[in-house]
Amino acid sequence: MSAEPRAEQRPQFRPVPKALKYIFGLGLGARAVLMSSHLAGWLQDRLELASPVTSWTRMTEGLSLLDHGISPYEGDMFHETPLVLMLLYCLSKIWGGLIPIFFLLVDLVTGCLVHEVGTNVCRHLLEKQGRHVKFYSTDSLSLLLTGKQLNSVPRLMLGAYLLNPLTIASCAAYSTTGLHSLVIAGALLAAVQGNRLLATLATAVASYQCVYPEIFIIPVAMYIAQLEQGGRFSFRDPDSRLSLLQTAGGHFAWLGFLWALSFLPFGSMDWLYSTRGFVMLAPDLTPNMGLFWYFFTEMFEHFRIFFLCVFQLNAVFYVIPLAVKLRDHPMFHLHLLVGLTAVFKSYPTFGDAALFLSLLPVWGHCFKYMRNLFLVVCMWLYSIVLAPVLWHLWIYYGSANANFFYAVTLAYATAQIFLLTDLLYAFLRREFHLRHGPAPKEGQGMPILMNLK
Amino acid sequence: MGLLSDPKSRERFSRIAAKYNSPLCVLAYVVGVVWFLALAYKPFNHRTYFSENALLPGLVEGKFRTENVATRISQAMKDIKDVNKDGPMPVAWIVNQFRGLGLDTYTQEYIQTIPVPSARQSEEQGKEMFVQLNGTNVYAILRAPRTASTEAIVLSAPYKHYLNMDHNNHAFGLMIALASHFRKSSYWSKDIIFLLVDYDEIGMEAWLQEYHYTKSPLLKSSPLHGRSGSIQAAINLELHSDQVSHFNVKLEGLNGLLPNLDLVNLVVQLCGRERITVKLHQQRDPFPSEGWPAFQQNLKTMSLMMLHQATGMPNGLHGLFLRYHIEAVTLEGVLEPGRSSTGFYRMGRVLEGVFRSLNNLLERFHQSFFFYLLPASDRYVSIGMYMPPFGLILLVTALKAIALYISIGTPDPDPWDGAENVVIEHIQSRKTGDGQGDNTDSKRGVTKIRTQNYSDGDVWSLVPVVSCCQVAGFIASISPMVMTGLGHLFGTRPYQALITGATGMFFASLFMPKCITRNRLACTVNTLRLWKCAALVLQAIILAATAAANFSLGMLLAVTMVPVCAMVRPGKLRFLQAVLMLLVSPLGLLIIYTGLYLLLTETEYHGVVPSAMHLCTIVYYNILSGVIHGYVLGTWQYTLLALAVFPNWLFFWCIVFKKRDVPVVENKEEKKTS
Repeated sequence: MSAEPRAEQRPQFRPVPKALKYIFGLGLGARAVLMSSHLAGWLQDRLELASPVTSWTRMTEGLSLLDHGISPYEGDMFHETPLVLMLLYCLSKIWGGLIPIFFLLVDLVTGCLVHEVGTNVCRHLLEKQGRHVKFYSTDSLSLLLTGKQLNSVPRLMLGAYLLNPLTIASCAAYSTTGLHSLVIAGALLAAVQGNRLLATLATAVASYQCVYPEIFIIPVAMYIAQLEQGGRFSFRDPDSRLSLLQTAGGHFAWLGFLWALSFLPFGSMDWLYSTRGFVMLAPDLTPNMGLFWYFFTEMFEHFRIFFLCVFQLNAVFYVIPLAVKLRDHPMFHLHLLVGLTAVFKSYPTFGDAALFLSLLPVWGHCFKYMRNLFLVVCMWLYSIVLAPVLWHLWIYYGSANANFFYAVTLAYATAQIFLLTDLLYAFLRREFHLRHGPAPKEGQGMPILMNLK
Repeated sequence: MGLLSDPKSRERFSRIAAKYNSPLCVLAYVVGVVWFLALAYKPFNHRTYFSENALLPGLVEGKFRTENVATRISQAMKDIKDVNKDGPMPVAWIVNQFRGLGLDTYTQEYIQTIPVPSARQSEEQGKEMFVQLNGTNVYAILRAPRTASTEAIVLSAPYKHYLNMDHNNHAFGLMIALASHFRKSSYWSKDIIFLLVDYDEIGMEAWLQEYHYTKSPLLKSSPLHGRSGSIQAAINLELHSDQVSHFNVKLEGLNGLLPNLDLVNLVVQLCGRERITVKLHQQRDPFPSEGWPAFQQNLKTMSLMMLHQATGMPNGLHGLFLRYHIEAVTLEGVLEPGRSSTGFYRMGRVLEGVFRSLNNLLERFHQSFFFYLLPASDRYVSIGMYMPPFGLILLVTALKAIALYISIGTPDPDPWDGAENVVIEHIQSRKTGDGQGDNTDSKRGVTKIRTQNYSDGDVWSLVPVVSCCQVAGFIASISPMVMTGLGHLFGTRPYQALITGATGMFFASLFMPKCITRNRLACTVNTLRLWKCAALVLQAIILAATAAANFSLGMLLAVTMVPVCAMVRPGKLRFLQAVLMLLVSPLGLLIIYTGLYLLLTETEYHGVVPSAMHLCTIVYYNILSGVIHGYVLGTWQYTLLALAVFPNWLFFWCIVFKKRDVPVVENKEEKKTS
């Protein structure tokens, strides 16, 4: 991080504060209004916003069990991590009014983190472009990023996070999804800053809290190794391997530390089964926006283990092909993983997808190569509107059935997968054009069609 | 994935979608509408059948013989009614009748607050500001001898119909007669609850809420002292006389819910066996069942059903059961003069058959259809049959949106607005007035380009427009109550204030295009294309979601709104477009469909002016009941119209009146040279 890009970044802060103020004011105002309205109770039970892991109803159950001196992990109700439980327990003991303030603050801090992620990733992109520009085709000058172009990106990201109706609703529902977004955003920020100690801690916290970010360590380790080794980085190089191992080791050391810390309040590791085991084994098949519940309710019990492995591998496996394909772009890889886990995790909510959406502006320069943006936007809107309607028809009126709702969750997942593959495609195609010019003579741009899905 | 990943087939698709857009849209719409109408024709729909085998209606042997009890009781009740004209329900007498049969009899009292300030009480004190209704429900439970009260069936009847103040004493007589008959049998495996409801819908709601422990802030009621198990099905009985010529079967429930088709089949089948004619919406099944007149008759029945369903208001007490996942229908016995009629004996046998079949049920109704339309009492159109034509109609919206999306950023082969394509000279001086910082360039050295703008649409301009429309919708959704509150202060009559609130925002927002004029929100042709594209996408979503919940409402909205909204474009023939848009506005649609309903049902025609007056009155009451039912019974039709359909319509309305601005391209090089 030289002084030069800093100087380039400095002026961008000057016009910002006014817009930032508006975004903060509007976002927090909307959250506060929604929290105090009578809709809050209804939102808390929305399965789209609160999964069994993040639901506030279950959190209150855990808190009251703790109050009675019973470990909430002995039962089958509570699946949030002990550190979060203890934090909220302390807050509720000090003053009950702190809870809404806490949730507001969490979203506020997440917004700031996302903003910082934007600033840092933009700087990283410019730096990288500076390093690589000599390899680019001379015709593709128009494709190069400029500081001005990236100026508004952090603000957009902040707006996309704080003003997104999904995060607003999810915050008003007191869903701990906000907390999950916070730790993931923290992991992204720490990763892009490139400090090994901090990055491993942040990924450890994220994976401690939401399990799936465990796979983040691969792009993070690659990124740090590339920072350290510079151009010499390769998977075969012993130094690079050492660096990768160091990062992974750091991650697991921090994770062990967090586990040890969680061991203290209850004196047992039961919580591990209730949190991590719950997410991995997916025993609760209450409908949610994910792909697990319908499949596993329909399935014969003796196939369960097999398909559990398949589904969980599906959620994490893409990290390997992406690591190969995006070897030189670990930041993009990391951001894609945020989106991938938001689709394929066992208990997804709208809040998870909203975090990924707020990361999109950083890759805004790839949008013009995206092909299905219109379709994705339409599908997304449809599924968000139709999901509560069909849920209501199924559960409350009993006139529709599970297939109606499942169709919507499928459309929702498909929309996200389209978005991810499209973004990947657009990114790779832009890289291709950077190297071969914006209008290569032969085979207008299809040779790098990815067979991801 | 071929279409999504293969650029060639993609290009071909988009070329076709753009080139043949209008013919494709017309084709889709026409085919959709014709297909849908054709569904009422016999070869295109199906004969109803029993899906639930446990019902076994064929095995029921009618043993009902106590019709003289029915006659006696209904006469006795009529005598009581004649003594105290409009008095309260004779609770003690009714309780005695049930107790006399040895049934567990209970009463339930309730107070319903209607959030409309009452004209009378407001003069006395501010405390009792709202209209309050109180009543007493009476219910009796016949305990099943064979099980432990885990399941129940309900036979309900309103004490009187508050619409026409007609007493329902015959239904009560038949109810008592059936109770005394059922009492003697030992085969009941489900409890039977006999329920007499005061103040029809509100009383029913009070009883159901208390039975299921759901609470509403406006309805206070005493707890139920006697209970049974989960209610499997309910039959609601309304009899206008002791001799009936036919049963009018009412299906449409709250928010467009329908009972399971098996229950409807059961009732129709058993009526057929007792040779009682069944009608839907007072429409007889056509005979012969094929041919043009039959098709007309079927179409009429189906349209009436759709119009009823679209209102979302229950047309009988059964409608409230449906919300609690209890299948229910209303049997309305009507005596049509000049037709052969039947008495309590046959009616009793029908109901006995229905209850004995329901008694056979092993699980809840789940088999047959919940989403259907009935063109005749024995023909049905299922969801799988009516959704494709609806999808075709929505395809118009989708195709239009896709074509617009493709056209964004390309030169316009067919300029939307030729006449407007004149540079407005003062645009730059106006533009500097709105205080945006980057307009310094536009003061001097501006190149105005008279040809089309090639730049992409401005996505951010959607934010203020959509949010303005949504705010207008939000105001419209809360304004009836706000206005009644305000009207209370100024001594306006509550219903007038309510109507003002409901329609005021609509009329006020007609001026919204004035507020998003050129100097506030400049628009290039591509931005306008983007606007319309977004408006179409929103419309498709709203219509699809509406149709999922209440198909008839979605369909009726789509049939009228889709073609007009797909056609509108800024500029050209603004007056004609405005008229068309007003016709498909929520208020316009209400008037159109109320008119259609009157056309289908009313036989007498009194001339243009009285008919128009009549129409206006009906529309007035429809709005009123839409709003009030939203508060009292929880129908969501008014909220949906105000919060979703109206803002979307307003968006289109703004597009019609939005003048396309000639793009001002700030050319800095030009500035340097100058």
